[in-house]
Amino acid sequence: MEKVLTIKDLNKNYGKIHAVKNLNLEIDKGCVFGILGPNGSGKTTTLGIILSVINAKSGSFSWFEEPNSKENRKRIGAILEQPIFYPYLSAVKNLKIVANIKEVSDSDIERVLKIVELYDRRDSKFKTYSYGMKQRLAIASALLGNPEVLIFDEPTNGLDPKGIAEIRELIIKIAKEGITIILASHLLDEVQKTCTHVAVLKSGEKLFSGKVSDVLNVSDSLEIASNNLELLSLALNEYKNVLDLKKEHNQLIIKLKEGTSAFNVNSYLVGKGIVVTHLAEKKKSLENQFLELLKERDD
Amino acid sequence: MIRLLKIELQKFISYKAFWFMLIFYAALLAIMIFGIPGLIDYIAEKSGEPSKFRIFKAIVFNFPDVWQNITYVASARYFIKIVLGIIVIIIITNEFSYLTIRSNIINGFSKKDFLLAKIELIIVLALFSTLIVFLSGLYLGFLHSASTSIGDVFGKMIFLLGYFIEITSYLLFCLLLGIIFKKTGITFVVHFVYLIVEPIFDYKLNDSITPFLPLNAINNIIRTPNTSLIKIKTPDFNYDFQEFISITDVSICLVYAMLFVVLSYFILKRRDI
Repeated sequence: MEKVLTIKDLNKNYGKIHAVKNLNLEIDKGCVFGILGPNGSGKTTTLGIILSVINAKSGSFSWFEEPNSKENRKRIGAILEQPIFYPYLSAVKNLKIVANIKEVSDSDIERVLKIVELYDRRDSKFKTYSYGMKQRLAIASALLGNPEVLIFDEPTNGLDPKGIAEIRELIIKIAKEGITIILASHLLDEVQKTCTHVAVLKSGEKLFSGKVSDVLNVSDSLEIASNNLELLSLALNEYKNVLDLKKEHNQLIIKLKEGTSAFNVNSYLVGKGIVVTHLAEKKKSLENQFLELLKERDD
Repeated sequence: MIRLLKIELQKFISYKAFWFMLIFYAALLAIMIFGIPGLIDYIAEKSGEPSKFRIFKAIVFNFPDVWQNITYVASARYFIKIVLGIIVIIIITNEFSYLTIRSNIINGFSKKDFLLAKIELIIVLALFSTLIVFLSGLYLGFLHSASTSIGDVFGKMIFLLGYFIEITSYLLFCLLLGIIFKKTGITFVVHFVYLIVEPIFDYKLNDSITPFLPLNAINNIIRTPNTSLIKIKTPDFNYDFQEFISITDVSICLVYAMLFVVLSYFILKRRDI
């Protein structure tokens, strides 16, 4: 698979704060890659480094399997933090500057303004725009010249529910065209709804990365009950594939080793002569997983 | 090169404050240059000895000395070129306060491109200023000179080149300050404080060092105005004024100009934006 972005051993310090710690990441062409993490986890710093506005302390990155250059950035459309434009210029004039820096044709401006529904306000000054419009103009600017990669940093920040829905729809629509998207967000819901892959960051460290669908289908937790909970508990304690056992109301919650299913547990118990009255797989949502990941590292 | 300048101009083509300042500067420069003859006439009227002042006027605006005189006035340290300096400071610090330098880089500028575009704009501003001075000089010269032979008209035109180098270097100095301090207000303050502080150093330091102070180096290209008057020597006043542009002065200034550019580049390069 062609790599759009490869990050190797990236580090960045702000004084004593280690904003990015030995970050390694590979992003394949065509995926929607979510970078998930709470505020201050190093998402924007990482994006800043790969867009050459922040200097890394050590490590390297490469776009399109090529050495870093300004020419590579012209193939990328990006929004970092807030929408940035010359406030006294109109949308069209701002986009003309972007088009000229990117060395793409001015004629694309009309198309991108129509996509984000700002064409009717194209001659209004940027400073007269509402926040939602500013954010939309930033997206238009990122779309200019059909980039191969789009980077969105908290794209729905500060938008109303309608605006959030619109932006997410837009991202999914763009992704269907085969453009690689990198989306940084502190909202699980956002990553869950739009991304195919995810990396979870905390305090500058990558805790986890993989396919969103894999994460969602993990079922390593079981609710289990029988007429005699104590007996059940004893039996399960002896079962080597149980990692954790908790008593909750009239049932037990057990965590299983990867690869162990409800079927295995039930067969084991039947072997021990225990009949269960309740057995349910608990599918973890990304949210639980995310919170757990964050918690584990705190311990 | 042209592409960078085009982008740079696009940034300001609809920026009212930029045009307001530029027109203000041009008007001020013209008023000053054209106002001096009027001022001399006025003093002449009041003094009761108008003929003396008329001679003075003829000397001041005589080809080729007119070039030295008007470039001297137009480039004076505490005078109107500060308006151009303010324009440059606003232009560069705006990029930091609007964060637009960041979007420029993200969209595909290198930091070098960003700086080069600014330097090109500075050169255009300096050329614009030189053009006004040139046209004013031609007008005043033809109006007041006895001789309009080609040799006389173009005689000291090298002062225009000196003027251009001086203005460019000064604006590069302002650019560097803007890059260092980022905030418009702080940069203004530092700039004006430095304008006041350097003469204090100039006074305290040894004469062999003072020509190497940055603003001195910039201003030393055109050291004095009219030469025919100051050639007059008396036993009490026997001093040789420099009535040419010296290669040494220009070299010191150019070294500073290069230093400003190199420092600007390394600061931008090292900084997270």
